[in-house]
Amino acid sequence: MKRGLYLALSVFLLASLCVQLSAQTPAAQDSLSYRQQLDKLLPLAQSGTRNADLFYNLGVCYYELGQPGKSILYFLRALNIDSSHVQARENIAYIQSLHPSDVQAPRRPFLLQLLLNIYDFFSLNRLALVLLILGLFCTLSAQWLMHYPPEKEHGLPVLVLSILLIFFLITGGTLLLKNHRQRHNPKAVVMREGAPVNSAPSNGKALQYLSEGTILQIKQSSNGWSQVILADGFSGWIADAQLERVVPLKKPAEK
Amino acid sequence: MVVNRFRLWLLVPFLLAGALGAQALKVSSYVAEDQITLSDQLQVVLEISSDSRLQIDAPPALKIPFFSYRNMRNSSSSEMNIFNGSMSRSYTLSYTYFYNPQKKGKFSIPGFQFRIDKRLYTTPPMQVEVVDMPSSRAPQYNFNPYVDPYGADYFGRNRSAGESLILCQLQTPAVFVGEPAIASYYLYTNQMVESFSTEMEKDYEGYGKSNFEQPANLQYERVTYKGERYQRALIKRIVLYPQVSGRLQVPTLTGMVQFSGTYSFLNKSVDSQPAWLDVRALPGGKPAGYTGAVGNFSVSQSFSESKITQGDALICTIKISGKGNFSQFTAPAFPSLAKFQVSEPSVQDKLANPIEGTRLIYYTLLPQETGDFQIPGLSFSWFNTATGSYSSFQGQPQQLAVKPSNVLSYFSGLLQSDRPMTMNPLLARSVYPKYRNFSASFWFWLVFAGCLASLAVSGWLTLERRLRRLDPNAYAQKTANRILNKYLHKATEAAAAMSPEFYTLADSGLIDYLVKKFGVSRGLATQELLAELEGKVPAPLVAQVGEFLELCQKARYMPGGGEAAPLMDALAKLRQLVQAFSRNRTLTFASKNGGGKDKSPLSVNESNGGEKP
Repeated sequence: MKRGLYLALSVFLLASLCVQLSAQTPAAQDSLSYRQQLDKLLPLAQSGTRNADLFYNLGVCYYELGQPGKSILYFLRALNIDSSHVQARENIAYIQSLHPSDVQAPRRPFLLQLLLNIYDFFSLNRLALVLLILGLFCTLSAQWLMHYPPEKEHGLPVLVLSILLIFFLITGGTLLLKNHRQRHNPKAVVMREGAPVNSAPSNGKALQYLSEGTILQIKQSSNGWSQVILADGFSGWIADAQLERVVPLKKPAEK
Repeated sequence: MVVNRFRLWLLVPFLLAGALGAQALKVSSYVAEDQITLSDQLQVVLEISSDSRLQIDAPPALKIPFFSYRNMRNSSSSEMNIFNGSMSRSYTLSYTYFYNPQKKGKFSIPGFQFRIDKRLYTTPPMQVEVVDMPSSRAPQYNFNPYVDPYGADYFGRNRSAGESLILCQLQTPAVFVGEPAIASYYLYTNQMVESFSTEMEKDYEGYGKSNFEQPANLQYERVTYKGERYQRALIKRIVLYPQVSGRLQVPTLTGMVQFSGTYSFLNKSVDSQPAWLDVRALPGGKPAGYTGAVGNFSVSQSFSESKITQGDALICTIKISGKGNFSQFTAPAFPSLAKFQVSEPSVQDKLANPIEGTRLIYYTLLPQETGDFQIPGLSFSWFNTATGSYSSFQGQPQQLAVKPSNVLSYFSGLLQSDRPMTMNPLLARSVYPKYRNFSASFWFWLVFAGCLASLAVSGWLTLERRLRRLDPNAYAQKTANRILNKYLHKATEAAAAMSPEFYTLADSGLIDYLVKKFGVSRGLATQELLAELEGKVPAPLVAQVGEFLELCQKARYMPGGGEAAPLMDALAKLRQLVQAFSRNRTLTFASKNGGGKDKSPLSVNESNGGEKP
């Protein structure tokens, strides 16, 4: 049993490592300027290539070219694909630290933050691999239980199967949740400096002015306006032209 | 009625208190200059005006991308107006935030946002442009009135008699190019000055400048100047960064002194007296990598780790402490390093004033391969004003072991939230494969399907075993049916169709079954077959097989062999026989020659146990 556990863990880590390293090359970064890098990478992204490292590099280029809004947007897109992309997360925190007057989320309790870090650590593909391994273990333990000698006490295999099933269900639920969030990510980024947040769509009174790169959650959209929630819980309406969504809306023809 | 009147009067004090307590606040913000050079300082001014005295905390400084925050100065002023015989007074708090630009370009500065008495105040965003070379335009210096000190001898004097002048005093009369020089502007007066306001600051060629100190109030001290007694107050202190050698004229400050006349206020414009700064050129032989730092510095270098795992970052920190032109030099470039990604340097200043303090420069290094590496030390050169020569710092190289990722390194980032904040560099990738969602892949669901299939097979086997253990008869019946279906399928169908072919098919099917089950030879005569079966199955069962085969042979040639009753009887016997084989038990037919299938109770003689069902 112990050997099996070690074996499965090794398989998982190896597979995960392979996925991460598959795109890496030992070649050093070429010496193109950020503008040239951007010109090289942007067509790839526009052609529909979804890759966390591609989005990350686009974010770095945009930042170095003085566009923090676009930069944060692409870092968020990288995180949307791979929530464990540490560099993208750190770069967002770095850019936000340059704007302490911006709306900041309240500091979370330690344990909650730890749980969220663990949630982020398990990206969608890592979760899928964990789920697969747990599924295999559940199958093995169910087989063990079914072929267990009938005259013996069944407590141990039942306990093992129950624990594995609980983990399997939790992982499966998280995978479903992450999958849904990846496809329907409600986050958006303010693209223009001083974007007003109004009390109502179109003719509402400006309640607050947001700086470029502020991250928002979109609650609902109608007629070119979106109801947004800021990190501190403040809610208001902002024109869609001021925003760019992490997951772009599909055009009617694509629907 | 009396009660109602009493209530009305009770409301009056509350209404009055509300009206008095409500402060009419005006909030505005602006940049002192909308175009500055890289050597200038950005001044963002926030003004809060009210008709009553304000006691509030300074709003936090804005963080502006590509500008590093330096310090903040605050001042207050009050203004009294008499208009149409009525007097009004307004109080203004002014906060000036100083920033150093880091890049050229046009920038947008977010507006202020703060609360006073639970009310939110915001100001609109501002724009500023940072250009490369210092411009020679006249500065737009903001109007900052100062409250004069009301001395003990205020009354009973001729208020306008005497003299007021502005003197510029240099801390050091001679400096090197790039060495910061502090110029202090003092108001010298022996008049009863009521207020002073700076009106203009005229700049000259050859230097950049930044604010060093600007007191909120004029603090007078008694001094003697040219044999005369004066009161002196510091107006402001600036830092000059000479860019060329020679004799440079320091900026001229123009201010308006206001003092009370007999019946009205008297204003007098005062210019600061010319002052000159001798600037010496830097000696030749600049070391390689000299970035323009001039001052008296101590430099150190440190690395965050000596062992890291692949995927983790190494932080190299350069600490520059001392006194010098911090805003005039850039971070040294990190030496080129193969197999590492090196970030742009991130500068963090902890300065007590624009020319004194500590600068931290962070470099983030991401290893691309595992192995042992030697990270070269950084070199930093500056002109040491204490010695009058160039000084260099060469950091010690660092041995770094980059190990492959392991189980622990996968989780190493979960608790790291307070690492030095720098912008991580570009990742070296030659290809960007399309993202594949594992959970939407075919193989992912194939593995699960395999698991489910294996569970189904195991479950079926477990149920079989359970049935065999708990209800052997039911199991035997089930097995017999299965054997019948498998080996005597056609015979069973013939029996159902009341065909005399049943006996032929039953005969061959039974022999086929015995061949497969017990390995007896095909094509044997009945007696030879029975002889071969002996020893493999109990003797009574052999006898019953013989009996059934004989029945089949007889029925094939017997008239009326295809009738329903004997046919169904024969089928029941066949089933019982196969059932007995599956249980490996002997059985005898209660009625040898007749009876329906339900009328032939099974009587079993245990050959291997004596247990009765």
